[in-house]
Amino acid sequence: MAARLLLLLLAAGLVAVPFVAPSHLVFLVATIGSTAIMVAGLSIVIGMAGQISIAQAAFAALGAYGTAQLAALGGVPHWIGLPAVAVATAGLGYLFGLLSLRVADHYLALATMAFGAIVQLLLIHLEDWTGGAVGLPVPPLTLGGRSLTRPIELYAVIMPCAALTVWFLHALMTSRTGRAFSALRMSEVGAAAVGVPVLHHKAMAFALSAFFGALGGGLYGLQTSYLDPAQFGILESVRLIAIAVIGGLLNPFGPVIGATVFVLLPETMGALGRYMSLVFSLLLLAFIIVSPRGIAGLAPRLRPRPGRRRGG
Amino acid sequence: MSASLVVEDLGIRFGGLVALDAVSMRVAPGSIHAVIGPNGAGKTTLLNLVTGLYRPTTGRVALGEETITGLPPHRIAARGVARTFQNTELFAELSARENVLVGLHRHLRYGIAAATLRLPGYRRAEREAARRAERLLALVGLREQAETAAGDLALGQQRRLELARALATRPRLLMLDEPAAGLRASEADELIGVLRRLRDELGLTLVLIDHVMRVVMGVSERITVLNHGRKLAEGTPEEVRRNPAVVAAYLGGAPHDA
Repeated sequence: MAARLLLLLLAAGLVAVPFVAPSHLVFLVATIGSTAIMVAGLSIVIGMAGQISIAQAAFAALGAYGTAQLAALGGVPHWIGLPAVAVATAGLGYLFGLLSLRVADHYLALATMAFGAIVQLLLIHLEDWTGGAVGLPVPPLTLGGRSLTRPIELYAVIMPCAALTVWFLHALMTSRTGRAFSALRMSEVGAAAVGVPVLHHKAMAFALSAFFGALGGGLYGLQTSYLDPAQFGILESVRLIAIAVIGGLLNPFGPVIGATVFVLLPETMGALGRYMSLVFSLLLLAFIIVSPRGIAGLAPRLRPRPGRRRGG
Repeated sequence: MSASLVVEDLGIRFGGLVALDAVSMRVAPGSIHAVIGPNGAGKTTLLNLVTGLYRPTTGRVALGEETITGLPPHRIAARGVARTFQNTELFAELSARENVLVGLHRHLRYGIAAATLRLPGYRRAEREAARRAERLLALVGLREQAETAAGDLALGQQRRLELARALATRPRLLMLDEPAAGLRASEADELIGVLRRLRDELGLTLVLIDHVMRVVMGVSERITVLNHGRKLAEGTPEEVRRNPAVVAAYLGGAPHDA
């Protein structure tokens, strides 16, 4: 009950933000939303399925660039282009996940990193398509001939997507697919022995991570209205992993909590802002050592499990 | 429900090492069949070959009428072969209940969309799965530990949980890798009762690998003896006990009630 009340308050607060907060803050909260969507993909592939992926920024780039260029070159409205690009990126993610048949563990992590590097190189060198190192502008989201560019308008588009993403994470964790992800994280042999197709599920986890990476990346692109390959490098992938870990990998709210810290903290640090990378590195280290389940793991569980320790 | 298991000329080599060499055996449907042999005889290798963890270099495995040689493990599981592991392969951070639910994975028929939208199909399937998990946990005496993380259970409880998880897949053939290792005499007798019940009430075909003679001799109808990757003997417990080659290679060197 307390959890439900908390959720209601959170929802009410999020609805109220654009009416009461200055537009700079509205922009920041929407950034939390789009970042959390990208990070949600990592909750699935790293948190649930246990496959390290250092390619999330690449999937985000595909979402952002794909949507922008579909609109700019093909005249496809974002309402159709963004979901379509996210689905296509998910397909690519699935194929990438099939790689795990040949490479596993650390080598798979390295392969994802290589994939991220290749995507960034392509962004820089396929100048005709991507604008090269200079980047390219993102055509605005339009509704009935009107451009939606004000923070409050994008907030109204992004936040429902973020809320649905959190719900999806919760639903996935309590479904057969989510349980299969957890199972293969802990014992691939055991999972296969009870009939879980391990390779398919690894590929599915990559597909879902690519989907949310592309969706979040596309939404983030609408906010910045300009894409630059430097935004989508390996460091950005690592930053997204840090957000996922600090927020909590196995909690549906983890990505939102992590993104809140990472988006708001630099705003409150003023002149110390240039030490942000250091602060985040220390935070990441501290959480890995002290609370591997992230901030979400620090709070008492919303739904306690009675008797969890009884047999121990 | 039960299915026969036929193994013909089954063999595998790892590099230069022949781990299993042209082993054949037939397990009649609804029977309890033990595979024994000294350490390194190839018992677990045989089990890993039948369940698809290894691909055989030679030979054939058939379940009932169907050849299953070389299929991936999850497809073999889907055809009704379940197993337990010598050192258990449980999902340590998941609760006992969730472990059994993963065992029900293949019998839950709904997609991610149905789960996200909480469609009636999802709710019905999960309710039914919860009921079956409850029954299976009760069957192996772990009802009280349903919410305990598998990794926190005692060793004996982990073995029983793995059995419940294997049964959740609704197998026709169940293969147990050293279920009695480390059990006290009274627990071993209890295990004999459980194995008989599985065969009689669920109609399973059971293949059992073990060192514990009390269990092997007490419960199996036929015994295959492996030694150095080859089949040394096969027969009823009485025949095996009297076989001089077996006595020399195995029973002679080991205490009868290890």
